[in-house]
Amino acid sequence: MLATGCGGLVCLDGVYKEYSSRVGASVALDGVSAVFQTGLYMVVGPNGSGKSTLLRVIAGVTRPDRGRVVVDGRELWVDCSGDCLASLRRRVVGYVPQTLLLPATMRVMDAIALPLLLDGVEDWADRVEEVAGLLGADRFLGRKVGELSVGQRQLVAIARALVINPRILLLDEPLSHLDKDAMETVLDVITGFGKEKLIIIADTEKVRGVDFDSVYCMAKGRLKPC
Amino acid sequence: MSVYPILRASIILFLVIGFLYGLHFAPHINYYYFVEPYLKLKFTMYYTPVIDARIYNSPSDNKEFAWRLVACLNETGDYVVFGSSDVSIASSPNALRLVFSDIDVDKVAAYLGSIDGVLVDVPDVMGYRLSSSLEGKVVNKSISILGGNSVRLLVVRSRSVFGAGHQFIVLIGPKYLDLVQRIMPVDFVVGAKDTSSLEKCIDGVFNYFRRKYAGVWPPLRLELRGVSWEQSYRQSLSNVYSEQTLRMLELFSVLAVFVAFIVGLREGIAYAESSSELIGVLRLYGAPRTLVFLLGFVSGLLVLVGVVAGMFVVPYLFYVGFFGGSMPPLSFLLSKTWEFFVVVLPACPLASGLGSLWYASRRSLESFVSSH
Repeated sequence: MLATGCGGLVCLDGVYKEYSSRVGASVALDGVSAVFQTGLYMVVGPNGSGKSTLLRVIAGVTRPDRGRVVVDGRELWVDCSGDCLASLRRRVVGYVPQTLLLPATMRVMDAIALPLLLDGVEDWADRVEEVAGLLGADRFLGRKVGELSVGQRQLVAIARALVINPRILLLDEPLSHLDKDAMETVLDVITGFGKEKLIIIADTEKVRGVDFDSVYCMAKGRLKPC
Repeated sequence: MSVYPILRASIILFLVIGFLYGLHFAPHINYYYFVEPYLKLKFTMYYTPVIDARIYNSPSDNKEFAWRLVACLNETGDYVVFGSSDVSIASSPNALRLVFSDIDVDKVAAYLGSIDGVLVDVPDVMGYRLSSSLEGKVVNKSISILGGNSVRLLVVRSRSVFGAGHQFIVLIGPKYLDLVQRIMPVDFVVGAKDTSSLEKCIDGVFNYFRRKYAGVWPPLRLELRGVSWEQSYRQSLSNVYSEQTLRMLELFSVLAVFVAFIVGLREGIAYAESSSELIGVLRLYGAPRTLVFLLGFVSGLLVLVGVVAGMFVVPYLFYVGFFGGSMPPLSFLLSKTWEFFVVVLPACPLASGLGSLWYASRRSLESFVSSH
């Protein structure tokens, strides 16, 4: 019902996720419901408020305990699971995790191109150079990821998310290690990324100087407009 | 994928194994654990005939016994008959392998037209060689059982524990078989896998003499004691080392394998951790499972190659370079011990490589991208 009735690119309906550990259970998402249309969104919240879990749920990495997640017309874990989720991340959802997930010994060029390579795209080199050029990452395309600073790795992770020209872009604290110039470059690229796309940036503080379409606040697993 | 864990694993293993080699245990550990299993595969038997002294004391009986023994042996393929002196008789160059498995038989065969046999120089446990300067050269040596006649011998070196610190003369070829009765055969070793017909034949020889000496008191003492190559090897080894030292050798070797296993496991996990980001990102974007499997397999193989190469090369340099000792040539190690290295020791890094892949693969995708 929701899959067909979802009026946005991403719809969340009563999404609940709990993590249990030896010290007890913690609720990461507590019945989150939201509809994300195209546009630029910001999710602000303190550490541990559930921002990263929210993005992981949308990216199809984390399966919620309850609730429904619809992305690009498909209900995750119902209409789309396993290889379909991986295919979604290769073609529709550009995702920059907080951990970046960049193999240290891989060449930057290959690290950025990986989603394209695994998707069988042949003419990937020009696309990689184009995106890296936009972010100012083209100067270290030939180096290995392990040789880069944390900030430079963030640029590479963002480039990897953008290289597939995704309809949905999920950025988990993407600016935390960038210097001022790099931050401005990234924000310029992201805000100019496209009007028909959905971009969600999660961070502990609202990014200044950016005109967001909507800003959500997250606290104790609950999401509400601020 | 990081190469550092491989290097670390290799270096630690180099040191452990190199230390053992450095203690001059190498040749014996090498044989005891590496070559011996290889030899056991040959099903070689070591025989000691117990022959009544009356036969030895009778020149005609002794000659008859020797020729009947040779006739039996000729039916079994390669053999070496040990004499009561340092002179032995080998049926062919190939038979040398039965006793001195590291001798280059092809090289000996190439000399065969111009030599009568080989002078085998077995270094002692400290690596000291009696004829180190003569190795590979042909020397003339006078032999008393040949009436003081001189024979031409190719000087070769062997690490066999049979007679460490001694020299052996092995005359090769059928023309020397008539000397068997003169060297007073005390032992012989055969390379046949099935020795039942040989034992039956020798039993026939014994029965011949029993019939010949029928009614003579006391009855002839004729017995054939056969032990496996392994048993005879252990016996020889115990002649070189005391039981206590042997136990110490075993302890060192077990410790070496244990350390290798622990190091391999630890490095395998470290390797998996270093490549887990790659596995994670491949899974994030849906790489085929075969690719992920291949990744772990290759990582295990790399550890394997590093460790095995290190165990060959570094102890060699360590022992020969720093101690000036004599070690089995690398070619010998490679030719005689590859089964052991390929099958046993690589199992640790390979298993840890594959195990670490399994560990990485069974992790949830979420754990790769989560800071939980």
